Formats: sequence, structure tokens, C-alpha cells
Amino acid sequence: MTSATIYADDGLPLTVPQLLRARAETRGDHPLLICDDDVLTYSQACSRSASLAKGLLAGGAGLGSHVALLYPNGSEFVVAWLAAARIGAVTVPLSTFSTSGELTVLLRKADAEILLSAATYRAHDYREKLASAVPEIDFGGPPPLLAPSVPALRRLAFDLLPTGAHPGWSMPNLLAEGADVDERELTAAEAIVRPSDRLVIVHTSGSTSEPKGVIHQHGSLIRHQNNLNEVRAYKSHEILFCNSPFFWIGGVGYSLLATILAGATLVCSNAPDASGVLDLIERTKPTMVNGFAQLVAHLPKDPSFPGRDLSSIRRGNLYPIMPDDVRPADPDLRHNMLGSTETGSVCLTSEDESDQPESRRGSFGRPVAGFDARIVDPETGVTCPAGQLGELWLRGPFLMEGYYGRERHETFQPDGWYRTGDLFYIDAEGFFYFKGRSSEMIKTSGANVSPREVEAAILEETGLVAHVVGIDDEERGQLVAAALRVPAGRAAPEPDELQTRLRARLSTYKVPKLIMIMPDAEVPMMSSGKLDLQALKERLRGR
Amino acid sequence: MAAEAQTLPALLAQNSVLQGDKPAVVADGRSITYAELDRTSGRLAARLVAAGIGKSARVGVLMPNGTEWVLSAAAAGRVGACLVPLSTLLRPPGLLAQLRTAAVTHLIAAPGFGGRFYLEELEQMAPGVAATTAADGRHPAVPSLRRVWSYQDLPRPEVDPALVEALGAVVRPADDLVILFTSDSGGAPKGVIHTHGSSIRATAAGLASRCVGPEERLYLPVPFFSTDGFSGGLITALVAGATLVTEAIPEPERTLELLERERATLFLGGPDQAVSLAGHPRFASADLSSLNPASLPEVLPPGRRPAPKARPGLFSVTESFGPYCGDRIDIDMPPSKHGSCGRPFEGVDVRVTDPDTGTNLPSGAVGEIRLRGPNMMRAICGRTRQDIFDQEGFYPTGDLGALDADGYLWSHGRRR
Repeated sequence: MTSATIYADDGLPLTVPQLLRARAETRGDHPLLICDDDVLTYSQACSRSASLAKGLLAGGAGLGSHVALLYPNGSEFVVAWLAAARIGAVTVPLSTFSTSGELTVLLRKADAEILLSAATYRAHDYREKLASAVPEIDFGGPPPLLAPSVPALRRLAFDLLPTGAHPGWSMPNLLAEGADVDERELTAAEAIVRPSDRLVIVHTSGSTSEPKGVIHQHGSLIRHQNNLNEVRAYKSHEILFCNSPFFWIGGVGYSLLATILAGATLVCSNAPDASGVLDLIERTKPTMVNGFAQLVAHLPKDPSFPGRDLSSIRRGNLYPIMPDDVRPADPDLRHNMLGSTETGSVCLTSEDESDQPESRRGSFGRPVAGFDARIVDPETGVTCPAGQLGELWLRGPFLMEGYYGRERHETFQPDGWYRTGDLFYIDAEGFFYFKGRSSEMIKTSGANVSPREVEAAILEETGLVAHVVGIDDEERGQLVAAALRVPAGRAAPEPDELQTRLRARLSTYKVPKLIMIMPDAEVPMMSSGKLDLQALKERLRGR
Repeated sequence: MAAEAQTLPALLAQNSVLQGDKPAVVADGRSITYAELDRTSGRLAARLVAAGIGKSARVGVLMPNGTEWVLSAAAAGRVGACLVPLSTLLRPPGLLAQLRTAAVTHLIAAPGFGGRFYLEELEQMAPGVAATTAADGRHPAVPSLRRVWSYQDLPRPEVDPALVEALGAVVRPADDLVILFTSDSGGAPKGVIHTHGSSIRATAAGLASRCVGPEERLYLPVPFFSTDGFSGGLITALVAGATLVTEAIPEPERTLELLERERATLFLGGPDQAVSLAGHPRFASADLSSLNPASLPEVLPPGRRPAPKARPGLFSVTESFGPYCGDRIDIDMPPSKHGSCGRPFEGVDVRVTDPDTGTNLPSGAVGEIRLRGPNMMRAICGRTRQDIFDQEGFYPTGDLGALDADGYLWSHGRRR
């Protein structure tokens, strides 16, 4: 049963310490995690995290302490995350991709007090990165760190130290400090953790802006993931393959916490080559696969792929690796999912995993339990009727508490609505359709146009990439304008003729009033390699 | 009015520059200027940080009103720790319950006050707690607690002042400043969490109505652990850049001397205290000419007293960090508004609703007062947002009232 409220009197443990104890009790010897050769059972997760939790207590952490985690997917992340969470510390998973400078920003912005970290991963040496990020660090002397550049940070614990370093900076040392801590102290520390306490600060990937630290609480994230497990029928006998990094919400929430709630097994891989990942899948026989298709896009290209037995996979959304009999004929005819850090992973989806009729092409399903959703005209704040494009607004108890370091009123509307910035419309049956970002939305003669939709139509019609933007227009407010990129040596269509062809595909108001043919080499780009939107608008306006 | 500063450390620094030589707090024969408050609380903060107090600490302060209370609060708050003012009147089980509810990590207590010895009492409730925490252990009765100190025994070592500065610089308006326990709850203790932003803005929004500017010398004996004392006294003085005159145990003769000597301009004691002062034999000869007409009428000369009900009754709840509506308290309201509580301050939306359905009532109708806005509390300890606020983001106060067509709020007692 799903529940739209955190409390539902159904016996669901609503804090991580309660949940972990409950699962260790009933699922003790069952594997929680298989990450390549690294296997962690539920009882091992409980006992190893108890030892580290005691170390953290001895080190001065407790309810509300900010504990940052810097590990690739694997049992060390799981143990560290559980150890901190079970004593009520706020966990702050950090991206293993972070540069030295990004680490300083994240540690500073999140007020991290303790950092638990791998020593190295792939080409990264995090000890070196930290030492260059925080010039005050002296691994030769003992903790605490008292560094004005990251003023809240006191302690770092690496699983391995360079020779000559003081042992106080090591994970074994932290564990040793905890050896004297009484079991009753741990139990007591767990008992004061409440569903309303902060569990995790997950940073948004920050593709368009600086990363924001999104706060989720024990009770709300647990209830939400429990609801999502119901929707996707994630049960204890399942084996889930998911390669989302644990430091993002799809990892820590939708795969790790969800797996613990289900009492199931999570499979993931850090193998650098496709064949290693495929070996793991054949060996562990996952029944479900979830995550970003891009993360497995390389697998089917491996020469060994055709001979692989992946028949254990029955459900999920990693279509490239799913067997033929369960793979959709057309992925756009399956309900897609909308998820975000702010919504604690998935918020729009459907329990119906079958192929949908053509009329539902591109559907993102409906809001899951606990989420109220409205489509709102971003300029007027008025709710849009079915079929009309607008911004998706969400409200409900499983939304993030807020962004760390920002006040609630900076993020939410006074009546609790959160503006996602995503453009959607709802069809007559209540299914949601994604149409891009609202910052891109074009407002022309009172109608809302999604550039993405127009670009897709042009691509289908001509095979050419177009950039569609709104440019200021006295009469219409904005005018739909398109720059059509034409590679060298390729014939360009006539703008008039293209407009006529597009009218067969799009409502008239969506058809660009202005089409500029632009040789590829003339498209204005920024030094980052991204399109220079302002310059492009200038050029279109100059016409 | 000052108050561009949106955090306590920024406020301390700003006052040190703008009001440096002015006394910030005068208490029981001790006076401390704004420059001293900034400097001395910085030194104390350097000791607290060296003793393990960090950004996520929750520092319980269990002392009578005085400069030591103010310094402890300023020191903890300026490095981003959250203050937990604790009542000196609590019996030991009540103290333990509040320490647990607020998850206090460090406790600073007066050695003794009014015949009470708090650390001994805590020791009786949680045997061995001082020794256990001193050895980095946790006591099962209060597992959050990491250290317990008497103010006099706070450790001496200090961290570099640069670290204190750096910690102050990363305190944001969104960070928690204080957990205030409300007195009106019958059951479990109710710890109301206010951020630096909500506390400072809520206070600033009421200053004009409450007639508190930088020239005021407020007399306020209400304990700092209460909302009236912390918000109405200490934070009010800091936000206004005014001087706060207080005392741990008011006694009429001494209070009259204090008011005279310190040339108090605004009397913010309670009505009972005002009556007892006015009835004291020394009252007639005391020179209270410095008091301005915003003071309680009982302590004003008869000719300067307002007509009954001519001044607004300030509607105040801990959840809004003190008064959330009012009007100038130094001049009479229009006669048609006598008996009202004035109008809502900026930063708080007031709605009068049907108590059962939560629907909005028309102006004039009596219903439950509900509040929301950026100056409201962030949360209540241990409760989810759904438990606290209604669907539209309003907090039901349990108070009954009516909003008239001019936006004045009229009190109609408590719900039920």
C-alpha cells in the first residue's frame, strides 16, 4: 500500500536506525549489495556500520552532525552512510568526479564537519585533492583540522594513508576509537533519531547552475521510497541492477535506500570495461534494471554482448540491455519517469510497465502518492487546463525540506508549491508530457511554445538540427524563431517551404515565423563548447 | 534602525562599528559595550570552538539573566551553533526532557542560582553524566550530550581568532539560531526553532511599533530563556542597537534605583511588576522622568498615561518570535480601534479561519488565527512539517480573533 503521508500506522520503520535493525533481523544473511567482488549482507551492513557509528560517536559526532562521504559505489559507501545515519548525523555524499576546487566548495557550503573518504579511486587521489583544496591540512600532525578555508571541518578519515602520516586521519584509527564505546551508547544514540530529522544532503548535478544541497529527512524519504517500491513492485526476492552513483539521489535513494526497504539485493559495478559489467550481470542474474540508459549504452557495443545470457532481466528501464522478449518495441510507448533530487528521486511514473497506445507516446505517467501536481502558466500563476503547456508545480510531504543554506521562502511558494522549472502538459486522462525547461519557453500571442518540441519536428522533417528561440516582438510578445544548422556541402531547404511542411506537424502558432539558414561553422558558440544563446538571438533579431 | 545584518555574527560586527562605545547590556552592576560584546564573545567563541563546539552544536544555556548569559549566547551563535535557552525554574525531570527534545550537545550552566544547583540536579537524574561526557562518552539518559560545564569552568584554550571569523562568515540567515521552549504546552516539551533570518527579521519588523530605536535604554527583567526575554529583550536590543538593562532577581527598591541610575527610557517589565513598583514607598521620590510614554502606564506619571485600551495589546507567540502585530505603543490608536491588537507586522500573513475546516473567514468574523510567512519558525523539534503547518503553509495558533476591514486584529481568547 502506498501512503500520501509519512505516518500511516503500518509499522514501516521511519528512521534509518530502525529500518536497518529490522532488516538485519529478518534478512541477516541475504546480500544487500553486490558490487563486483564486494558483497555485503544485511547483518554485515548492520555490524560494520555499528562499529563505525561507535567511532563517530567517540569522535564527537551525533544527531545533526554533518558527515561527508566520498566513496565510489560499494560496501564502504553503504557502511559509512548507514553508520552516520543511524546516529542521526546528516550525511553529505560527495561526487567522486569532484575536482579539488569543487570539493572545497561542497565541503564549505554543506558545513561538513567530518569527511569519510576513500584514499583513491581510479585516477583520483582524494588525499592529494583534499590537501591541495585545504592548504591548512597537515597530515603529519594530529586532528582536529582548524582551517579557516573550510571552517566547520574538523576531521578526515581515509581508508589508507601515505607513509609518515599521523594515524589520526585514518579510518582504522576512527574505528579503534569506537572500540570502547558501549553497545548501550549506540542504542541510545539511535533512539533519539526521529522521522523529522535530516538524513541526507544530496547535491544536484549542477549542469546549469552551481550545485544545490537538497535536504531530505528520514521519515519522508523512507516513506517515499517505500511508495516507489510499491509502484515498481520492488520486493525482497528481486535483484536490482542499477549503476547510478550513490552520491546522487538515484543512487542513495532510488537504489540503495529502496533496496534496504525492500530487503532485496542491489547489484552495481565499477568495472572499467563492458565485459566486466556483463560478467557481473550474468553471474548475479538481476531481475530488474533501473537507472540512466546512458550508463549502460556501452554494454551492447561490447563484442561479447550477443553471446551473453541476460535472460534474468524481466523489468525496468535500461532497455539497451534487456532481453528481446521484455524490451519495448518503441521506448517512447512506455511510460517514462520524471525524477529529481528535490523530489527524492521519482515523482511522475506509472505502475503500468507495458507498451502504451500511440496516443500516450512520450507519457511520463502520473504523480506518485503524496505529490500534488499542477501545470501553471509561469507568468500568471494560473493553473492551465488539460492540453495546455505550462510549468510543473509540486507540493507534498515528500518534497525536499529545502536547499541547505537557503531559507524556505526563497525556494517554495508561500502555500508550499515548488516550481520545478520543467514544462509539461497533462492530457485528458491525466498523463503528463514533458516538453523542456520553462526557462526556454516561448510565449507568443498568449500561447506557450516549447522549443524542444519544434526542434524535434524540424529534425524529423529535415534531418537537420535547429535551435529554436523566442525573440522579442512588439505585436506578439515573442516570436518563434529558428536557426537551422546546415553542415558544409549539404543543401538547405527553403524556409517558406519548410514552414508549410511544419504546419502539417505542428499547430500554426508553434511554426517558426522566422527561419534562418545557418552554416554549421557560423553558429555562435561559447568557449565551453555550448551554444551562445544570446549571440544567436542577436543574429536572429538582426534579420 | 540597524538590521541590514541578517545573522547574529553580522549583527555583532555591525553594532561594534556603529554603536561601539554604547553599553549593550547592563546587568547587576556590570556593563558591557557593543565593542566589548563583540570582542569578548569572540574570545569566548574561540574557547568554545577549541572545546569542540562546532556548527552543528546545540548549546544549552542555563543561567539567570546577566552578562554571562549574553556572552555565552553571542559566542555560541556567532560560530553557527544553535542556542537552547533553558529555564532556571525547570525541575530536573523537565530539564532532562528539554535537553533530550532539543538534542542539546553542550550545556553551560550557572553553578548555582536561587538555591538551585543545576549540575548536581542533572547528575541525580543521569548519574555519572559529567564524568562520562568528559571522557568523550555518551550517557543513555541524554545521548546527544557531549559536554557539561559550569560557566566558570569553561575550558581556557582558544583557537585562532581567524577561525572564529571564518565560522561567522559562513553563518547564513537560513541557519538555526535558537530553540525556544514554549510554556503553554501541557504534554511533551515543544521546542520552536528559529533561524538567524527569521529571528532578526521578525524583531526588526516590530521595532517601529514597539518604539525601540538605537537611543533606547530598555529595562527588561524577563528571563532570557523565555520568548519575551530572548526576543523582546536581548535580540530586540541587538537589532535596534539599543541598550538592555536587566537584572536576575527584580526587587522593587533595587529596580527603582536601577531605572533611575541607568536612565531607562522604556519599561518592559510585566504589569504586576509595574503595579508593585508604583505601590512602593520609594516610587514617589524616584526620578523616572527618562521613561518614555511607550512604557507601561503604571510607572508613568498620571498625566502621561494613555486612556485604557488605547494602546495595542501586542499579539505574541513563540512561533512568530514574539509580537506579530501591533501599532505604535507610544500614542493612542484611533478611538474605533481601542481594544484591538493593531495590525500584522511585515513578514507574517495573518488569516482568520474556521477552526475545524481551516477555511478563510470574512472580515469581522471570529475564528482561529493562523500565521505564515518568512518570519515564522522553521520547525518544531521532532515534528514533521505536516504535523505543524496546514496545507497552505499556515500555523494554527489556537488563538481566537477577528480581523476587521481595516486589517486590525482583535483578540477573542483561546480556542476551546
